[in-house]
Amino acid sequence: MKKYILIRILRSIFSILVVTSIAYMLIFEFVPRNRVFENDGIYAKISNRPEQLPLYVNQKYEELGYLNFSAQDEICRDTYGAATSAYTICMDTTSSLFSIAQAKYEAKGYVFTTIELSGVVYATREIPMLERLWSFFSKMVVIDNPNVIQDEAHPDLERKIYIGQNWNKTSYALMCSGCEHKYLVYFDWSFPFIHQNVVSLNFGRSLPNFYGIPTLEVLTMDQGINVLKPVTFPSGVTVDSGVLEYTCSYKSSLDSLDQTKFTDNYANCSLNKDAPSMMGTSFIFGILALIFSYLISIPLGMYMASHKGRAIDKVGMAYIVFVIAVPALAYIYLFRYIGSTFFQLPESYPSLGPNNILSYIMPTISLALPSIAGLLMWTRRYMVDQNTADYVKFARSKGLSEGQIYLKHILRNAIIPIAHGLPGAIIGAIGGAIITERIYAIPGMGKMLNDSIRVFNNNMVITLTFIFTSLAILSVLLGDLLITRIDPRISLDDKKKGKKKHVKR
Amino acid sequence: MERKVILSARDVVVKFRVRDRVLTAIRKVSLDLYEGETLAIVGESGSGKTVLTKTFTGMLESNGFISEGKIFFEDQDLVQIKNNKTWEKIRGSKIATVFQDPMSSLNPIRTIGTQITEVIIKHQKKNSKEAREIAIDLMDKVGIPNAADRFNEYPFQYSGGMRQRIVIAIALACRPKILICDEPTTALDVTIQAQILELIKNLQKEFGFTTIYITHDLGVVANVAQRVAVMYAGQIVEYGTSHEIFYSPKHPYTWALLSSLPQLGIKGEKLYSIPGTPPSLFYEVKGDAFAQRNPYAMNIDFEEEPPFFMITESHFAKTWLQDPRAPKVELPSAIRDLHATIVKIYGKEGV
Repeated sequence: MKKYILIRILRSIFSILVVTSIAYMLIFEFVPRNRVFENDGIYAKISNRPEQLPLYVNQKYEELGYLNFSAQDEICRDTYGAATSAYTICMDTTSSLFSIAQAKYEAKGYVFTTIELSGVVYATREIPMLERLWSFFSKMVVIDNPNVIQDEAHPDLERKIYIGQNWNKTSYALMCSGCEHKYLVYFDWSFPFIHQNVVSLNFGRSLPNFYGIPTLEVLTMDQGINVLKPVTFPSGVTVDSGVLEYTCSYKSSLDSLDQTKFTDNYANCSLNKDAPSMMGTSFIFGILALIFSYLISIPLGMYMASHKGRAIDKVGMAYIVFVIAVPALAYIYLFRYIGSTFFQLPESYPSLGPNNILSYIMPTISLALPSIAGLLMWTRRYMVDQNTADYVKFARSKGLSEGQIYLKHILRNAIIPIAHGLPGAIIGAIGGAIITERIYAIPGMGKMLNDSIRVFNNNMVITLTFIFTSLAILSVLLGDLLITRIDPRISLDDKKKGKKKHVKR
Repeated sequence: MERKVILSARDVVVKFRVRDRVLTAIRKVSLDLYEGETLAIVGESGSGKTVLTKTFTGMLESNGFISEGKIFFEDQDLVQIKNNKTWEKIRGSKIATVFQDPMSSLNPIRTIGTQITEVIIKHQKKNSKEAREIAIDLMDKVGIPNAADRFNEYPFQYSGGMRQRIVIAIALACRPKILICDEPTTALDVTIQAQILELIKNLQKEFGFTTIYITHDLGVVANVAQRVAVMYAGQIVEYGTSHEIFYSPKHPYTWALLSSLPQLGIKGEKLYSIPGTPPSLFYEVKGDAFAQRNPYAMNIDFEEEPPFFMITESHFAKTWLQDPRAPKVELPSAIRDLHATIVKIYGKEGV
């Protein structure tokens, strides 16, 4: 059992890596790199300054991993050290010292370019795809440790891991100095109660929308307006603030406002806002739609199966065919129109906001429509299948009542394939819905994917691909494990009785 | 021979609605079942054997219905029962059924134990602990070793023969008066077949129930049945004691059926098979249903349906050949000395 699960997990991780690699290669190879700037405000601003533009462009390319980029001062500093006389000489491009540095760089594969207007020289080196892929994955998992922060402004930063208390001394936490995060492990009253900042995933920064924020943070940070409450900061001042102390991370230079509140450099904190994060929003809608669709389709599917061929069955089948045949875009607009015209429900989520229950009704229904159709079809089918099974006939010949037969024999067998899909449905709910979120302007992951593709936010697309892939693979794994709990014929043990079957995928 | 009739079917007609047409599956069948006996119903596929016995437990498919006739069992007419509640009291507790395929007769995801006890709890109103004891006792009786240990196992942990034993145990859990065995050994291999037949025989002695075998395996019939009813195209065409049916069959269909026993085949010669196909039951059958395939058919066979002719007190055949006006015909050679052949094959008295 343990061995099997371990192998499955390893295989799952491998699959995730393969899918992410393929997505990475496709996007970074085939999407023209200059389109990244199409929606970049800074690029637009400096596009009429041709002496700066190449520097900015190449710097961004380096950030996105396309190439290595070194400006002239970096080349000289790298070769001769900062603030030496050799460095000063090197900064003259006609000097022999510069030529030596240039030769060194060219040996490494760099190509030198001179900006004609300013005479500034810079070097770039295209990074081969496999090398880029490797550096993407090697940087992906980040483990926070006391040597992470190497800040020239604070060379004497203390480096230690210790157990300390939070600001108002209500809880203990594993804390760190020298790490990226101040709190490594902490406890609070929100699920799952024990939280950690030690291991995190890094997919690069979002560009151009949510400019410069790490992609994963974009997806997980709260949205909406700040929620303020009185907070006593480490310096002792009490201010109305939305600061979340456990999120504080290292900040190189404190501004004057920070200095009144913080006693160390861990002043880069997230703020408590009134709307859930993109991931959270998608999750809320997903779970609501999931509950709604299961509540409707399982009983209705059973009813249709037991009234096969009657009016209710025909209506249900008509609905299934309608939803499957008509594109989602069309019937979601149709239902939105019905909802807004006849029930005065809002046409978009932001119009009443996340704190009004009416905002949730139409998106939830729209999300549930297709899954109701699918579930209805399968539930009905499984029930009808079981109804003609030999053991159901035998149960009937035993004199069991129809109710007993339904509950003990038909439903239990029909529920197995439905249960197999349940983790997938739950996890799929987190993934969000691209079309529904777009139509109702719901700030969730589905809409983010849509927006990111439109503005060539490549890192974000990769991040979302990674998340969706992981969720899908995890759900398959969980489904398989769940089914072993329900179906006695499937066992993951290979030592016990030889007759037991193995789960194979 | 004066025995108590436990179940009596009179002129039963069963019809099925198939799309917009009506199929008459059982055409005026009358049958008496005597207490404690073993009756075998034989006939080729589609002759109505299973449909007939399904009427005894109200298990006809939803498009089937009994359009005429009466079935008397324990002073009530089963045809008149319309609600499931009444049927639930008869099924399992008074008339039980064992189906053909033990592999699929048991629910794959419930334990053997619960599948036996649920019927005991339902019909005998026992609590689960008492039911468990009864069930383990039954499992012992049908020959499951270590019954108590295997109580909580699942069907997939049992072999085919063991599952059929369990099915029998479930069928007999409430001491039914009648056990209908619908081809109980067809899906099992030959060695297991004999064991299962032996088991049912022994249990019948112990429990004293009446058995109806539905089969097309005449070997099974010879082994277990006291009386045999031969069905063709929704009718019983001949019935009598198994001795009578095997050694002095009167109906040409019975002859054909016996001639096609693979055991009677002679090496190097083609096995006998009945030519043609049974008539479509969507249309009314004129005359003798077997006439088209019957080499002994006379003109009247195509015109008028034969009545039952009594051969002995227990032996009846529905064929014009028994009419005094009919010409004498020779038995087909294959079955003329059936008795000798069977003795030769099995080395002992067959029936």
